Amino acid sequence: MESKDGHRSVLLIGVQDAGKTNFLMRLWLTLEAGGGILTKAGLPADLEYLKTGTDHLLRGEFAPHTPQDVQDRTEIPVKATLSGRQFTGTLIVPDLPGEQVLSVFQTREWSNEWEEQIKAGCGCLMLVRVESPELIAPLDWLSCAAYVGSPMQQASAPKDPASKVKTPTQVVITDWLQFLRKAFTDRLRGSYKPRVGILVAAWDLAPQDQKAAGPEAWVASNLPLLHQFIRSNDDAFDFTYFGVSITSGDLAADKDFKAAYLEGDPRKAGEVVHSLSGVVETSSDITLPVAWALGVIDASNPEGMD
Amino acid sequence: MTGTCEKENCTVAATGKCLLSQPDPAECAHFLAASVAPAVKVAELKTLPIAAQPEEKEFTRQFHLGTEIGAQDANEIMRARYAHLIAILGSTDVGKTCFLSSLYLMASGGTLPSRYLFSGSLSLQAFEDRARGLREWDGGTLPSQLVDHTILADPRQPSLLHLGIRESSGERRKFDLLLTDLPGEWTDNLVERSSAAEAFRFLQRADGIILVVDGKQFLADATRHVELQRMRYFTERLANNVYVSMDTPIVILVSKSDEIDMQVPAAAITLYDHVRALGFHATVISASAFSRTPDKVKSGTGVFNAIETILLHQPVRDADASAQSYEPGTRTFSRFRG
Repeated sequence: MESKDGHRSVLLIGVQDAGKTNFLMRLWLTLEAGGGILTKAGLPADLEYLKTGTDHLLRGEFAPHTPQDVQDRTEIPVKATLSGRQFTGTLIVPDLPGEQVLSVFQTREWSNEWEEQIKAGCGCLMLVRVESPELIAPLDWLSCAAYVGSPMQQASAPKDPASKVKTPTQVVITDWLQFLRKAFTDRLRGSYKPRVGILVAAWDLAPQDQKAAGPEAWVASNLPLLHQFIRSNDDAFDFTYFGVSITSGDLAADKDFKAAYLEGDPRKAGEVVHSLSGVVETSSDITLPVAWALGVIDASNPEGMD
Repeated sequence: MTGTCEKENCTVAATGKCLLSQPDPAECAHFLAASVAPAVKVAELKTLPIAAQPEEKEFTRQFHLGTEIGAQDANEIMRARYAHLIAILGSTDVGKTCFLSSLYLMASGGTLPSRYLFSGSLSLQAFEDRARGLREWDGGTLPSQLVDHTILADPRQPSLLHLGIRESSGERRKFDLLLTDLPGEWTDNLVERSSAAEAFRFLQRADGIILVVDGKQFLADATRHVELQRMRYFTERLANNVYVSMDTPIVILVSKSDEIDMQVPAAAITLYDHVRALGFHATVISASAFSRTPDKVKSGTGVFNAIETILLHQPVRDADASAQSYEPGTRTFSRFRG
């Protein structure tokens, strides 16, 4: 967010099929409809990308995957009024394809476009999507034993040879966080603590027993290396977790849900699960993760502006 | 697919193997495919007009490569902060790589002892590759010393792996572990020739040694005498030819212990006595990196105990020597290189 206090922005980072585009489209619909902590302060100068994407949600469809050659930089004028203070600025959200995020991990370098984002006031939202086929599970004991030729009785060769070459998602995200830390340290200073929200998309698809404990428990269960990294690096980053459902149901697989969705106001669908106040709670304000990443609200005081 | 690479030191044109470990080199962002038809031979690629090459991207920031760490790169880490150098030694096929993979799987799966958390790694891809059996020793003539700089290209090189852990409560101390990844041939070479000691000189500043012995071989009558004798020779070499400091703790790790019902072979106790007699502090730990019987013996048993034994070891050092060896930022490998 760009404000009179300085430039602020949010980086949406996630591998392919992590839900970045749909989150951005839902965010814009919420900003446009109003009622959240952040609201629009006018229309973006370039509305085509957002309009095209949100048209899908308004028709009861998920927005398609961002093409690999698209590097859209969405700038949305926003405002917030909290505790009597008004906050205005421009939300700058680059929506980069997941392939590019994976490419940075593989080549171990990034371009000027990424480098220019690393500045004071920059927050990040790292996205992973529940049940995504691109969510690569960590290695387990049996698979590893088969790979290294250990004589475990139950070990067998992996069923999918292609799985040998897919790096687990938790490794990609953890290395990305290490990249970000180095870049922030080099460009700003080591004491600068960027806000990084771990955003679990398609939260409505999470198993019921994991939903009650909130998105952190889901990350601990599914991405344990990442979860430990987050716990042990709380002095290097300001972390928090969000679970986001942009429609609160499956538009593609559930016809009854889709009918009910379209019968209501699709602009106001979706919800966010978070623990900003210390307990797991649900909010209908989709702008909450972005407002937190921008520094508009604190974890201890989600209702107030910092 | 044939092609060249714009990345320095990549030998994909000649070997077909990607420097950045891409299984399919064509998927690497630096790969320049020989896309002209008919197929262009590697030798002819040099004469391709510049216009035929894809436009070169301009990159501004490079990050750690994620793979093995060379000695000079390790120096950079140690200048910034204290790092524990732990050598994993032992003959071929005793389970050194399984030890590293098992340690990584505990971090990866969140099953480290609850008092520790994974806190980062500059070698995540290297651990992944080992755990998937993608970085085997190539055989043939192995390098005679640790590589200086991080190298991704095959073959696998004697090098270091980095793993960061942090206490989960209390002081929440951070530990940067530099774990050696050395071929078993090095151990056998040192037994046979004192001249091989040069390759091990870096052990003079090691924080600990994990000497891996095969539990089955240490128990069976047909093999235990030979293996025990080999380890007697080896530890004597460490003391008298490599000049490893006597306050360097040595953990005798009995691998594959699940296959011997977690017995501690008498030969391991004999080796323990021998190592103690040489003047070292010694510990025997039964381990099972990958258990055959996980219902009885948990995979990873003993692995972290070995690491923790070294981390918790309190060396009794001469004050001057301590200042020279342990002052953060002053310890280097280069003093011990040939």
